[in-house]
Amino acid sequence: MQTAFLWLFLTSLFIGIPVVFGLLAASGVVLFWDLGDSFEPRDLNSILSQVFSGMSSVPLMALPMFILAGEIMNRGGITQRLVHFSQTLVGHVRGGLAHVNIMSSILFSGLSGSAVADTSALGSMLIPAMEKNGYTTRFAAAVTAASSVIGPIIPPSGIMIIYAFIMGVSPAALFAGGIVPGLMIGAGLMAMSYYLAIRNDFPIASERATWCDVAAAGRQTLWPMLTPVILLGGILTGFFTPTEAAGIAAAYALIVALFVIRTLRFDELPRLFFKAGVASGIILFLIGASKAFSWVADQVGAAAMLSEFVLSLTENPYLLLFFVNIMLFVVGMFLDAGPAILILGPILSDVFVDDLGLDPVHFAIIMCVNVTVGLATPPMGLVLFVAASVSGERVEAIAKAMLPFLAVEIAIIFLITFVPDFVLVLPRLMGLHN
Amino acid sequence: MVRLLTGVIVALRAVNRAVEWALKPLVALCVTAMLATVVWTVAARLSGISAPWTEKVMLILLPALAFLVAPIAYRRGANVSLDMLVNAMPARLARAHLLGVHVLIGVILLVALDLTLRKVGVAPLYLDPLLAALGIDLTSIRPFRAPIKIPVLGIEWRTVYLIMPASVALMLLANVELIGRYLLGLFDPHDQLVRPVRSFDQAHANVGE
Repeated sequence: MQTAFLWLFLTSLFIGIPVVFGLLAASGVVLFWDLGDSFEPRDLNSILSQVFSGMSSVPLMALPMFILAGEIMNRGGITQRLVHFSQTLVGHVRGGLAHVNIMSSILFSGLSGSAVADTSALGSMLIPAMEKNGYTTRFAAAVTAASSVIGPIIPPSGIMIIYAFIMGVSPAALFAGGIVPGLMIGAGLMAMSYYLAIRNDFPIASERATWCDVAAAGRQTLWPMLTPVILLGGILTGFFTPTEAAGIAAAYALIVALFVIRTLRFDELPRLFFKAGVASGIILFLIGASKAFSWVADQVGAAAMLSEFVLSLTENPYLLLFFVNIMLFVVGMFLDAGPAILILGPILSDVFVDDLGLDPVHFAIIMCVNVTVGLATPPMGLVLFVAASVSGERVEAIAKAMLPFLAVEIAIIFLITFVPDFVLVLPRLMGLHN
Repeated sequence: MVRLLTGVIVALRAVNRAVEWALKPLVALCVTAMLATVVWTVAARLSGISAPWTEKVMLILLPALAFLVAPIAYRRGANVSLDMLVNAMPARLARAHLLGVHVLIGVILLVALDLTLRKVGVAPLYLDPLLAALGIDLTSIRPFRAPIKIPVLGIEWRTVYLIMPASVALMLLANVELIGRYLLGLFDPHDQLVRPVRSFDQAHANVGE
């Protein structure tokens, strides 16, 4: 009966009940079920208290602030400047626009930690441009979708804030830990694009830019690109807490968009703040519900039982990591990254960090990268749907064109899983992690 | 029957649209207050001013935002869910299935309304028979009436908790509208009211919903 909560939740998920209601219903029913005679209705009150206190925490304030900063940057017309800057850097390489797409995603990820925002903003600009240059629509959409998963891996990252809050890991260490894997994915995708460009004779986007052109394009992006510098610099040097850094980044982005590059009007602000509020509110509610769910799992001894079950399969940590990578990847195909982390994080972290002694930052990054890459995989990958909607191409066609890029991403997942130094080198160098 | 149902849905739609209209500026205001509070915290720290209230305000604003957004998100179908099964069903069966899903959500919301009302010190006696019919008895939970105040701000926690029953009640209103829409779909699948409430992504087409 101890795993009833999981089955109940999975059933509710399968029949289409929204995750947040599924978590709450499974928590209530299982408490009633598993506690048997010792159940008292006021135990349900504890669930309510868990929901409220789960979202009432100062470190969580970083989440709406990051989302707001990303929204401001998206709306502030920065995308075009980033693309232009990327073009001066890599546009002269064969398959230039594919490289521009990936490079823009890397730059964009420092401003917005959302893969969906990346696909939508860059896709609407670069997919038509790539089509005009002789690329197939499916290839253009596939590059956009594959590279947009870099967004939540290179900081700032909403899912890392969620993970840090739920599992009590340092967000600064997670941010630093995400940089190398994010850049590795970017480099891997560019290498694959280059290979495909030569094989398919894709064109060069532009002539090699002079250093003056690069500098001029760089100047255009200077003010917005200072946002990640303030954000990461502030956090990594310990000058700001992540919450403070997120707030300052949002305020800075607002000032730049309104007064410096003047791409945002005052009358657009209420709509923009509402959009950021909705995105944040939905995640906050989900965090509250998942806190209640974890609490119930703990109360009925289900978390400990699941840990025992996983460890009974094998005690070889490498084999378990192999299986968990596959499981997380499959979960990512069906669930959005935030909910996947909220539901599975506490359970898997018990097994891998507490029982098997894996480094908490290393495991956090493995989990975040897995569920993020899952966003671009069928059948439920959100990024894939956005790419399909922006390009007008069928999801199946994009998914097929994405296979080489997906292979690169999977290879990098296994690389960072079995060589922890890729993840831990920066947090250690910066003194954020032992 | 269909005419009565249509009338009820139209009335509920108008109410829910008014609710959304009223909540939108509150959500934007909440985010603005969050930004101002965080910036003030930094400014106060750097200038050596004591601002202990900022942390307490943040603790209120976060759940407040979640509960302000919840009714809108539920009605617009913005919460994360798996649609695979529903998408694989024929239209008529999908409508009947979604009707069942929203009835289940309705039960969860009824229990949540009872619990949240008790949390703010109200004994929701009128809900007892309804929940008893569903086999749920929450009458042994004593309404929370302790006058516990939030330090520094001096506001009672019960006042802050008011956002919870208010939000759940608004979600229930949306729930009844959605149930009505899917119910109508069983009788008249071509009625315009049957189609789902449009999502935020289709906001440009939201007129009339």
